[in-house]
Amino acid sequence: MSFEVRHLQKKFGDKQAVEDLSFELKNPGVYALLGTNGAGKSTSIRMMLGILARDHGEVLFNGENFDTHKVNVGYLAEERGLYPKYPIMDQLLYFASLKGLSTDTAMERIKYWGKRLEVTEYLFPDRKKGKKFKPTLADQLSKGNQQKIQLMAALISDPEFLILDEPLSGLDPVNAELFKSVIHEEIDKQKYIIMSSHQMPVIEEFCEDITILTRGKAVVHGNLNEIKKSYGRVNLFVKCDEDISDTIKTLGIKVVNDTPAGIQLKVRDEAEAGHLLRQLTEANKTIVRFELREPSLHEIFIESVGKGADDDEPIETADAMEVVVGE
Amino acid sequence: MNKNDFKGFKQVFLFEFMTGVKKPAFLVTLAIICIMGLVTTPIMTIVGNLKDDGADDKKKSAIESVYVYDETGLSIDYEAFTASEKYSDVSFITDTSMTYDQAVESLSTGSDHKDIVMKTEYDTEKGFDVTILRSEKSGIKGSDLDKFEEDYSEFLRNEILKGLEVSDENYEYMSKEFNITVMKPSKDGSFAEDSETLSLDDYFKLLGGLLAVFLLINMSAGNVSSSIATEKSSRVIEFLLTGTRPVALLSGKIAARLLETFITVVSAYSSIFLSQVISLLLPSADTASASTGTSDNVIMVSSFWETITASRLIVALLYFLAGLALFTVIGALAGASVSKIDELQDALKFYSFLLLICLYTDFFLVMYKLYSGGLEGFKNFCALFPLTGAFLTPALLLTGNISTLLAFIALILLVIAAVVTFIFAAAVYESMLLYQGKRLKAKDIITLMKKQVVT
Repeated sequence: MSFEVRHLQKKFGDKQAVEDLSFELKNPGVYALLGTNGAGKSTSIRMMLGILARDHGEVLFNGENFDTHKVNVGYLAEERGLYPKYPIMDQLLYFASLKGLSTDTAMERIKYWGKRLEVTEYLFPDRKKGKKFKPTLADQLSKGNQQKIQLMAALISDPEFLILDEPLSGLDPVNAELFKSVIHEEIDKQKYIIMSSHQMPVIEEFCEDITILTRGKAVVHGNLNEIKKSYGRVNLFVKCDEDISDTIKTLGIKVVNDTPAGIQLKVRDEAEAGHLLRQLTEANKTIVRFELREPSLHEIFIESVGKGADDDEPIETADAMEVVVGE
Repeated sequence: MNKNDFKGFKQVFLFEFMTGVKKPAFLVTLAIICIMGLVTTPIMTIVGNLKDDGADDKKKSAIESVYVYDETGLSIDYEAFTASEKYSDVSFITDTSMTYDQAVESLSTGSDHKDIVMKTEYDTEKGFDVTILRSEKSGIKGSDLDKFEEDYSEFLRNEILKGLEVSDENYEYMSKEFNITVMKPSKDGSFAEDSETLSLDDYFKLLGGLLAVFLLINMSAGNVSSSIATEKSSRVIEFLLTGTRPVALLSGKIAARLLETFITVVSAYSSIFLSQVISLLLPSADTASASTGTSDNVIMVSSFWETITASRLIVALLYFLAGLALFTVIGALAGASVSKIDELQDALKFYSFLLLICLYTDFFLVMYKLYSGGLEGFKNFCALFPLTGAFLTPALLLTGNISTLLAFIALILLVIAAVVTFIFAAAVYESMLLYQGKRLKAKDIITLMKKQVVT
């Protein structure tokens, strides 16, 4: 199985929302789309799913045009939504029926996921004797529990392909761990997953391949380890008992951060770090910590995206409207 | 638009229908309609029976004296009128020293409040003219006077005919009413009433039909627009689109509302029909009252069926459903033009305006036809134009005011209008599904329509 995005483009009015986005998933696992708010992650995902018309480009699944109505796709949207005044059980059965599941299969899966995501009490509330049965409505649930129901809706059809747009945003640490464990399970089942997130540690935990978007443009993309290697080991953390600022100054090394815990430096290459180590040793400095490492994803992200990213702006003209694909 | 666009239609339809019929608003409305349909006629019959149980006939009239000023020159035997038990205590004073004006004056100043003054005149052109006066502080109830008026008219006619030496049998024969109906063949071959003005009966049927269709259309369009606005507002739409197509979503909602409305109409008619049956079985106070009370109501319904044929019924039903679909699609457009449910009322302003303009046009036609007649061209326009016809054409057809052929042409026009509107609406609906921003104005919607449909 393979999933390929080729030269995806989208313009809203004069604003280029996505510009020539291409990537490929050849193996099961998680592919990450990173970017600031308004970078074009959700727009790209919507175009991939066919919810939004693309100006240019194609999305292929096993070499054929990707159609969510033919491929079993699970989607957790960034804009979470349930019918606020309808019972959650009715909604899940409806979503399952749209994915072609029979009521029996859907009930079976709802029971499983209800237990797994710890929402059984809301899905199957107690029937009190002598009192009219009142099913749980979506707006009676907390935000976290609503998010669980939406994850259930995405997973209920046991999709072969999963798209998770900011799956952990707004979750408390306990529920975030629960969601992560579910995602790990899906990875273990050899699922193909596309995930977008702002949370770099989460991406580092799950993803092997990434694309960083800024203002609709892919500025970095490829295998995460290779990207890190390409940046080189230039992050140096040094802690000595003595003051070493003169030595650093003499060698002309850039100080990123100087804290009581140590000094964070940016070296040009490993040789410069080695030179510094030699200087400190020759000067008989007591080296408590000397760590040369690759940049973290967070650092790569900040460096590639910069600080000028725009926030989301609502699109408010007819010209700039998003057009749903109807073909 | 192809078959694939309707993938998921069944699921959307079932969900929308099931959630729709479970809504308290639908259940309460249906219950009210059914209860009203079921109990109105039996209650009317029971009340009618109570009113006509003969007690009123036996009860003495509150009138004590009648000052008679007879200017007809006829010889009327007022003693005969007092022969009935009801008027046995009433004195007819024919030989009074007071003039008519003095008697009137005494009514306004006098303390006795149970007397009336009655003047009978005869005009060769206008006929008999009876004027009855009572005091402002009169103790005589209006119902007593109504009864007196009714009985006295009959008595007077009887006395006149008696004076002309007409036998009871001939009198009975002569007192029958003439009912003249002019019929002409319609284009479909069936005969329909040839009348410039509407009968009062038809007027009420048209008005009732107009209001009933208006209420049902309003309910259906309101439900669809709020359903679409809720999906957009709660962002659930994004998830739905991975399992179904926008056209299937829109058509599923509309079909569910049509079925709900159809159920409402069938339930309402079934209740009315059942109430007629119940009314027939209700015990009457006496035979005479039963024949007036119960059968009058049944006649009302049976006369309704006089002008209805199977073809008319089918065309009217199809027309009603197509009209409902047309306005529901327009309501869907209003729902799609908002991002938040709070903005829906504002978005529905244009829709409500359109609805009222069409409704008032139909009202004008019906009222004009009642009082003045004519306006055949305007009537045909209202029946053929889809926006006005949606409310009126089914009632016009069922009451025989338009031919089946004209209604069939109107149905074709309406179906074309509904399909074209649906295609435009589907295109605009698709475009606006993910739109989040200020509420779109008509101008923006038209821009989108052009963009979507022309390209």
